[in-house]
Amino acid sequence: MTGVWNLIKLILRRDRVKLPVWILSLTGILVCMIPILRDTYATPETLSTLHQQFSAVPAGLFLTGPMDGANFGSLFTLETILWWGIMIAFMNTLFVIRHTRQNEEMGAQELIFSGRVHRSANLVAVLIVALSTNIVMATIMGLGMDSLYDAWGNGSVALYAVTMGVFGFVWASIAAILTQLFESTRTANTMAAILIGVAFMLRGIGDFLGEIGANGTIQAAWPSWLSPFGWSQATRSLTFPDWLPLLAPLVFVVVAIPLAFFMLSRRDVGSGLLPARSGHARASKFLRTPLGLTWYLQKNVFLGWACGAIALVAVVGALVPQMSKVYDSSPDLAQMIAAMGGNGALIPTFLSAMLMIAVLMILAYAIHALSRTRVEESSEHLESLLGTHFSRTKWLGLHLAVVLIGAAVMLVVSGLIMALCVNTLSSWSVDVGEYVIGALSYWPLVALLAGLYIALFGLLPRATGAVLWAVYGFIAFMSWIGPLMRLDQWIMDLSPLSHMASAPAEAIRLTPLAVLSVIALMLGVLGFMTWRNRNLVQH
Amino acid sequence: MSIISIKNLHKNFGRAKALNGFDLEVYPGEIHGFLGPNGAGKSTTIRIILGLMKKSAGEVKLFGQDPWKNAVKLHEKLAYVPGDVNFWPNLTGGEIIDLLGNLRGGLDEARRANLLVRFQLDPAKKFRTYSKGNRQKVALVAALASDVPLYILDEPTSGLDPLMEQVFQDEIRKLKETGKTVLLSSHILSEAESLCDRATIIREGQTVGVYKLAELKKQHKDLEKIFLSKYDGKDDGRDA
Repeated sequence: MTGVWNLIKLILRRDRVKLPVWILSLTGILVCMIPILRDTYATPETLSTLHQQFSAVPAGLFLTGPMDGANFGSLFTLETILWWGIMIAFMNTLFVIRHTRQNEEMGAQELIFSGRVHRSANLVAVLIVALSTNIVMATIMGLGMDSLYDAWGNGSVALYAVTMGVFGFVWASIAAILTQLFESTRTANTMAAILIGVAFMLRGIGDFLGEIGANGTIQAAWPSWLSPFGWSQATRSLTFPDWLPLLAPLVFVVVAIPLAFFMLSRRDVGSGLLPARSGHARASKFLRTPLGLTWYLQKNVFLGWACGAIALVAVVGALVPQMSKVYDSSPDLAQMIAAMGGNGALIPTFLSAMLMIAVLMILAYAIHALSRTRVEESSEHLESLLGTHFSRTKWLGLHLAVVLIGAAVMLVVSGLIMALCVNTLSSWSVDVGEYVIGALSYWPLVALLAGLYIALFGLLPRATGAVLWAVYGFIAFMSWIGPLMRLDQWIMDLSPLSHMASAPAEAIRLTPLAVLSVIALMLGVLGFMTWRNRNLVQH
Repeated sequence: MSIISIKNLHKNFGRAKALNGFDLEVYPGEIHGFLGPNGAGKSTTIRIILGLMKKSAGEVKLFGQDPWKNAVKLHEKLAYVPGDVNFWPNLTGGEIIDLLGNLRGGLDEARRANLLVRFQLDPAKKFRTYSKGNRQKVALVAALASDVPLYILDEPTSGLDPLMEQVFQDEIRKLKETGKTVLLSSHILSEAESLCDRATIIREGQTVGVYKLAELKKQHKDLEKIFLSKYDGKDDGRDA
């Protein structure tokens, strides 16, 4: 097809840094997990204890999938298959949308298509590079895993790597469809993130409702089959390898890609199949005010993350009645649960662990929402605003206030809805006030990250986003994977979460909250002072 | 045979009519001005000529062929400069010029070098660091360095300073001397007056007049007056 080769070269040139960084960090950290986990769980006893814990606490099921047995393969699978899956899914959707819809939105696609380039050539080129990226990633993964751990055998490792690669390409093809539908890059990326979240939750529900199968493993229920994550899990590559479930993603891709090309052939360059609506001719009274504008810019980010957090806690609340069923199905388990304090202790622990996931989503919201300030600055919108009598301090202060209040609202609503779902849907009852206050006890952590953002925004504006997401990644990693890796306490203590109580199951500790608040305040003041005295930074 | 021949062209976006029975003839070897206010349908027309958008009804011929069906083959014969030039921030101007030239089937190296000097463009800078005028120069150099029969320019000079405007006009006259055809969409009536052989004025998606600039000059008529007369009391002519 005319132009494909040139476009492939262009894509590789544009992403000469991005793609290698994605591939090397994804595969590098994955492979490093092998020796770390192997040393931590060197003996069969440690693995067996872990297996028992995992069988007893369904929080693990929802977040990591089932642990198939007391062996290293199942430990590695549950540590990696879903969380790496999320990253691989984002790598693929961001990549495809960046080279399709974003090109069209900025107008570059128009000039490219005025050359000797077939109308479908760009999508072909993007999908070829996406496929190659996933192949390279899978190959490095497979070779790395094989060289560090030979007990799995080549077949299992190959299946694991192929599963990850196929999974990535499924998301590339989903993005190829999304990019035809929406006129704006931001909408397409948001839809992709929502789909990734929904797919993750669907398989969480599937695992949760799963039943014990013939070989003693938990076989996921049907919702998992609606999710690419469920397809990846079903190959059980490192425990009970089975190539057959890969048929599902294969069929999906074979249907999705022609569909994307069909949709592409039905639309004009630059437009989406779903038309952008026209808006109001006049600004409302509220929009004319500084606060109104700030809220307008922050509204969609807030609503998107709020819906995500609420969906999560509602699903979790609705799953509680199912928990007793899982316990009843195994007498051994019942015994162990009794030893651990019975259902009375387990359900609050489970709910607190789930609330923590909602908190992590709300932290991500805060960073995402605050990043709007950098977008406004670098897109030169801010220049026009500050040319009016809108002061710098007020501009940044309003964004900060909207985010801090928005996060507080989301925390309260998450705690409230989780408690209400448990109370109405199950025979359990919890104290609603305890859940609301428990959720709200995480607010100083939001304030800390916000303070850090503001400080960096004043001091190092170009690096702000990258640093904040790295800090966030560290906090999330420490709360999900850190405890299992049995890292040294001092490393764990670098994460502010490790100083906080896991509310509402544990009593709130006030000292760390006070310390975090004071640090947050100091960082914030530093940020405002430096922001008032620096130049606007566009690029 | 006309290079571009458009008869009774319609383009609808949902209920909105962007083009509503528009006609345009561009003859070989002429510089044809395409004039109209913002939102009159100029860019939509150009996108249809380029096969980037599908017409709703009417007839469009580019070199005698349907531009939607034969887009790739027809694009060998033209170079395009859009009004809004935006490229990837981490590529340099030189890289973008080469890329676009390559996609058109090759650049004339000598002309590329000459144009970079004439437009005073530093090709080693990253695209994000260029000002508006320099961004436009990137697209102009890429287009003018291609040796093709037809140049389609959509408001190509809105960000250029008066010196560069002169360079641009010189280059367009050189194209005409070598027998090339140019479709020049513009708001700058003085530019159209000094460059064009003929001009088509568009209003609300319809052709409201086609003028020979040489005859206007003979009759001492002013293009600006004619243009404004077409919009008298028609403030609403600016809607999409």
